[in-house]
Amino acid sequence: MTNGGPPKLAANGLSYHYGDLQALRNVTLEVQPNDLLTIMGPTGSGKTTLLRAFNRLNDMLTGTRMTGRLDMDGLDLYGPETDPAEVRRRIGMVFALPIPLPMSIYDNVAYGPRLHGVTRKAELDEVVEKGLRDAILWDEVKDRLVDSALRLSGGQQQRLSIARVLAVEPEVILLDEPTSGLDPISTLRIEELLKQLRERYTIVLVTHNPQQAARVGERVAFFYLGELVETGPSQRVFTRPLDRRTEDYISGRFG
Amino acid sequence: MNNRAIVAHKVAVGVLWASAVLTLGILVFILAYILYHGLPVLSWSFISQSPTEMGRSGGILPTIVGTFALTILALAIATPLGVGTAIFLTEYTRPGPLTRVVRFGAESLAGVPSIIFGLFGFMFFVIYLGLGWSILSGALTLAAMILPTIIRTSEEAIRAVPDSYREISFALGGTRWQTVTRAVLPSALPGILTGVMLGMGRSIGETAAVIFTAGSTLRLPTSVTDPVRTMAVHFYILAREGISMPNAYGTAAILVISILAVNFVAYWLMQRFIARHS
Repeated sequence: MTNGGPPKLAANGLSYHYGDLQALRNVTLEVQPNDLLTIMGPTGSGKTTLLRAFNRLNDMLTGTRMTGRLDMDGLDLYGPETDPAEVRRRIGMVFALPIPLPMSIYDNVAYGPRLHGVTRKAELDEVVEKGLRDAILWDEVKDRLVDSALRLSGGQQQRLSIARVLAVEPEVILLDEPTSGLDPISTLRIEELLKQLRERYTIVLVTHNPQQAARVGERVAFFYLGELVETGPSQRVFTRPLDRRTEDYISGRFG
Repeated sequence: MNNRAIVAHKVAVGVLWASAVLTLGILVFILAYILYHGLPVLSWSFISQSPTEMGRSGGILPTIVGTFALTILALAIATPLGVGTAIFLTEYTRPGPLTRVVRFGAESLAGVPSIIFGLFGFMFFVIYLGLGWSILSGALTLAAMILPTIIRTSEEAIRAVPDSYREISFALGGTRWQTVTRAVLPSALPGILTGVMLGMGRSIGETAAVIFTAGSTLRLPTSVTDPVRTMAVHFYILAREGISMPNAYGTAAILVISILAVNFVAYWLMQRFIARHS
């Protein structure tokens, strides 16, 4: 798996506080290139905080405190030389709720490329089509790209969110419970999509649903109350969990 | 008990209906009254010619030009300043003493009577800066007067934009400025426009502040340093000094029609914009 290079993403002794509330406790975790890591855990276990710390979205908040180190390809994501906007472009983020920007389907996907200076129509057409195809949405929307994205169904809107992220050609895709608001069929489509995407991207999926982790993840990590309880190949974690709390969680005793 | 609730409900519905009808009725009555007295005076020459004999006869062309010049210039000054301040307060500062002071200042200014702004404009723009009675002095004064309204409404409109839009834009690698201009402002535009229209309404109908700063000449202005008389001021002088009531009503009719027309156009543009962006 590893070729001796640095991991794609790494957290080293990461702790995170919102005011007095500690959301992450000394988390150390590595994600190898082209890995598909699923982070599972009940609400309040710090999963979302970890994603938002990687993508530097919590920069906007006040009263937060972070200690430890986050790296991408061995480079400090919070280093003085690091440009947060560049970090966010290379590390894409799909949010829990499928939220389109109030504009057309086309403009939603073109939003990111336009931020990064793509203005030629032909070039934009190309990235938009590619993004939508990769998100397996193209066939459903190709005849109504100028329609408002707000008219799409929830499942389509979430695939649109993924297309929007793919269009800026990130290296890593973080997904924060992307199917929590979706019906089972839409959920399955997103899970299939993730399996296809992992060939080209490093993917971190957060879910509060252990079944989803079992279905999708090659590697899973279990978080509980801000702590990384255990991590390993999905097969092993689900059949022979090392920690009692993991066992209780996957057998549905809480969560 | 049950009966009392039903009676209370019926009374409430009656009172609410009555207030709505009364409000609309007063508005329609004022409009109808002005148009009834003003429309007979209107003709092409009334709006295309300059007044003669102090406005007793002739048209009102210079006052139409003056009104629009003053209002457009005031909006051109106040809109970027007001929207810029609102963006600064909402997107570029964390809530704290500074934002509270600026907001308190804006709110206090919004309640100051227009004549005070007129006096200030006269002392500062007309005399101290030596701009004289001019379109420029008047527009600067009106801009100061409507600025608080534009700041407040823009700020509320920007605050109402869901944070999720900002996060999407940031998460795609957008800078703060890109996020503000591309994700936030398009959604806030209808609300911002409401503030600008309120400001326009106040400017177009203002008399006290304008007489002090833009003068009341009846000559057709040729530059922003020329003094002007606006329609509202013309109407006031014609009526106050008993020069010509019919022409006063004619001027009022044009003023009312202009305001309605501008509102309709703005509303239509907004609908087109919303249709494209939702």
